[in-house]
Amino acid sequence: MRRLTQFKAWWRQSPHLRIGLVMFTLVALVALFAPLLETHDPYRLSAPSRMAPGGEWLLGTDALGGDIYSMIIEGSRTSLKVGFIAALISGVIGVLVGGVSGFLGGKTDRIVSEIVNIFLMLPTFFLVLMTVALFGSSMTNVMIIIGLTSWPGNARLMRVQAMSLKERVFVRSAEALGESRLSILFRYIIPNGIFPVITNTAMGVAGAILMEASLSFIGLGDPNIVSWGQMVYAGKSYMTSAWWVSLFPGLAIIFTVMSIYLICDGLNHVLNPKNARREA
Amino acid sequence: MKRYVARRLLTGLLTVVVVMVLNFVIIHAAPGDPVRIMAGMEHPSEAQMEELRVRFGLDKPLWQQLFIYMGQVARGDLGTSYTYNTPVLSLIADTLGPSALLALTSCVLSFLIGTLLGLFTARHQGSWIDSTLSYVSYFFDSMPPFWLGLVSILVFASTLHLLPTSGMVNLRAQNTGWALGVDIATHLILPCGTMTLIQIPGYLRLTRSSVSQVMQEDYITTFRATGMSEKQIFRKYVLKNAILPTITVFGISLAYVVTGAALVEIVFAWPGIGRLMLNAINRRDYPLLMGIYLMLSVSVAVVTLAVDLLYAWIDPRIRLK
Amino acid sequence: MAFLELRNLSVDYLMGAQRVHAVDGVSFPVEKGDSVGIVGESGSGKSTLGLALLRLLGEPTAEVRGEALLEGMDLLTLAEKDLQELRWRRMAAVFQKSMNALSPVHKIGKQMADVYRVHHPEASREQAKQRALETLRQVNLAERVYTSYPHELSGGMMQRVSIALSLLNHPDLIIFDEATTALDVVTQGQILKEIQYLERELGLTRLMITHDISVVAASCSHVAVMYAGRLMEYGPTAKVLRSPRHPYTQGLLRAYPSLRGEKTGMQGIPGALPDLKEEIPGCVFAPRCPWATEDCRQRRPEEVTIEAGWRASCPRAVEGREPDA
Repeated sequence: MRRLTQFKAWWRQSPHLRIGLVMFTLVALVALFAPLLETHDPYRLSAPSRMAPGGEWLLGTDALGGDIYSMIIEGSRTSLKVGFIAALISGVIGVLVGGVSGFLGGKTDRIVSEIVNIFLMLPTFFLVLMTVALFGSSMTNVMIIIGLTSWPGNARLMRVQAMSLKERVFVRSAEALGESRLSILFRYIIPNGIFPVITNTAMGVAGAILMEASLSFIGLGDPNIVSWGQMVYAGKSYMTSAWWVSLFPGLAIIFTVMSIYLICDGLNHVLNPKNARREA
Repeated sequence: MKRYVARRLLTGLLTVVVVMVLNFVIIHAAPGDPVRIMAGMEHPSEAQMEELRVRFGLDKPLWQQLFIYMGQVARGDLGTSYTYNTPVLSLIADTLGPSALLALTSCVLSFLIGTLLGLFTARHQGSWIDSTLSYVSYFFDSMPPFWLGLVSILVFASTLHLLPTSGMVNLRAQNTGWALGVDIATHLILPCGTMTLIQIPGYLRLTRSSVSQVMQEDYITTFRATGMSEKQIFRKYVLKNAILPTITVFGISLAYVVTGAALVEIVFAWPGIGRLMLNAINRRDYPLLMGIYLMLSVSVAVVTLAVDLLYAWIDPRIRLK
Repeated sequence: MAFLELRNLSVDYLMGAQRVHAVDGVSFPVEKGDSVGIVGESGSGKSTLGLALLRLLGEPTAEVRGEALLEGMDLLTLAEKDLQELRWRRMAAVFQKSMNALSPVHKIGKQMADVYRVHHPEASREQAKQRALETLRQVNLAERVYTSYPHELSGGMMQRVSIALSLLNHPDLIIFDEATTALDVVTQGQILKEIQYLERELGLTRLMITHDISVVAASCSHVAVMYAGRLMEYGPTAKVLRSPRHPYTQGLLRAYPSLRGEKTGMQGIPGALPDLKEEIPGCVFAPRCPWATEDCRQRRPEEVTIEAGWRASCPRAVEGREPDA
């Protein structure tokens, strides 16, 4: 009940959060009810090639005779799946690495944070690209590789949280009561420090969606799955003759990514103590 | 300051080492025989395999192979691309000029435009222009750069017939001197415009929030109390304090813009590193791909280091530590 | 008329539909050369009062009423142009967080010279520098501070820089807002002494906003005790601190045992600050006052004069004795 009131306050406070949540709910509903919304089988190429939008094929068809509208509906599932699983992997690794490093401190922390700094500096996209090229571009690989390369940001955030939390009284007293370090980490440090990581992980969802699109655009997408990035890729050669093939899936990417950005920014706004005080 | 420089140098060096190790590990962990991966074909001839075995010391233990590889890289030997049959380093060197031209131009333009827009919105907070720009910037932030490139081709080239959409020069015209410069500039407009539009939102929002943060600082209150005019406070004190974070971001983006521009280069067939990368991927030319990754990482490390040092020089709080 | 005269000064903060009565009907005179300590807990409105005098409250969110007459000129209604003209030449300030009082990326000297030249645009760089160095010497700082950055100095040194900054344009009145709060006791003591010395030398008038009664006791000729936005008691420091008349002042002093030499342990005042968003018809201290009557809760108490220049907003004040607690 208290959470609901809190949420209502946030809802009132940030228009970005409001708009973002509405947009994102729409995408999620589309993904959930995809089979009901699709007018054609997105995996069957039965229509004439490159039909203009309108008529039977709402948003036209691509070069191979796929229905753009149905494929965009289907692609929402791909994007959300890639986004969430990759972000989840990166979130879990980030929280564990950052939490342990910040909580233990000392030498472990120095080494871990140096590694994190180095990984933060590396151009992630190229690493992902090279790995996908070598290991194969199945959906699973893509998700795992994006997740495995994007955790350092989360680790850095969690580390800072852990460092400040371990000085707090409730952690100190748990230590004094003889609770084990592992249990302190999981019962006090992580639950209390995870919020900024959650916001960052949400940003990671958007990042992974864009990353998948970029990989698809250079031909490293999973050929067995419909994704927005691959649709843009498929249409790039026909941009001048059949613009709808690339245009609409691109708009779908923007809509989804923008909804997530707005939500994250809204969350950052309402969670910032400065703004909260002004409202109080 | 000396310690700071030393530390940054060390991190930069470590980064390069980490990239080399990563390259090595990925090749060896990937499914398939490293020899076949490096040769780029399923059935290389016995002579080719022998050459690669000697070159990478493949009969030696793994850790020795790592050192052999690192030694080669340290000497500037990134291997040979089998699709071009040319040393990887010289292939990359050929693309650096065009890539740097596109990257630097878009970086500087987006920094200037983004910061100016940010300053403008910071001074007009809550106005309709401010909120409109805020949503427009979210829109561009969410956009895949390559898609914006495609759309700009659709608008400017196929609909308006205004601008060239591919390559860096008009090969048929054989321009020289001024004409060549103009030719390159017209070819630059669309890819550079795309990259600039994509990068503007970051600067806009950063500058805006940085200015509003500085305006709330205690020293601004002090200056107001002294009777200094708002104009002077803004020009002399807010600006310098607020601009520091944007300069850092500018530096960081300088380091990464070549990576970010790769896909846009592909869209516009810009003869830069992005196109080289695409070819490497399409033909599974792994020595080339690894070479590109290594060179980009090194350039990121070098530029980041340079920016950090420059920043330390501008900001006395770091300089005197 | 006094040098500075506050008449019925009120400040409301507007937050949406709500009004927070941060300062409510405060009046007291300040004679030239006086040093007045404005003391109260956090939330008493003392800092808001200072900012209102300096006209530094954001206009759309703060509504200021009443008068603040500096030699007859109302600071609160003065035209913007005249206000800018008057700032720092007549009235300067030293703020709470001295470490943040100046821009971190400009040298201290440059900032001081800039401030000097706001009111002496004709002065050359050299003249501005000389004046800045002069004020730095007045607060016992070395010349090298001129070419230093704020973060290179300690808190105490930055506090001195802030004071030097306030002296630059020869003001008559300086408002110190919690200026010594962040310092250690020894540095605080030294700086208070120096301030008093400068004050005599330069003929300054001083308002000292603080939550620390010992600062007032050590450095102020008069004291104004504030609670929940209202003035509780005003009078000469020596008299007010020796025999406080307002129950709130009495409670506040009991919280500082060292001042009165008793070692019987500190006593806080039970209860909490009232909600300033609500209209309080009676005395704001009534809910916590042990002697509050129904009348106290219903009607705002009149100010009573104990003797010339000493008054309190409590009917009990005239009785002249401190009841046993």
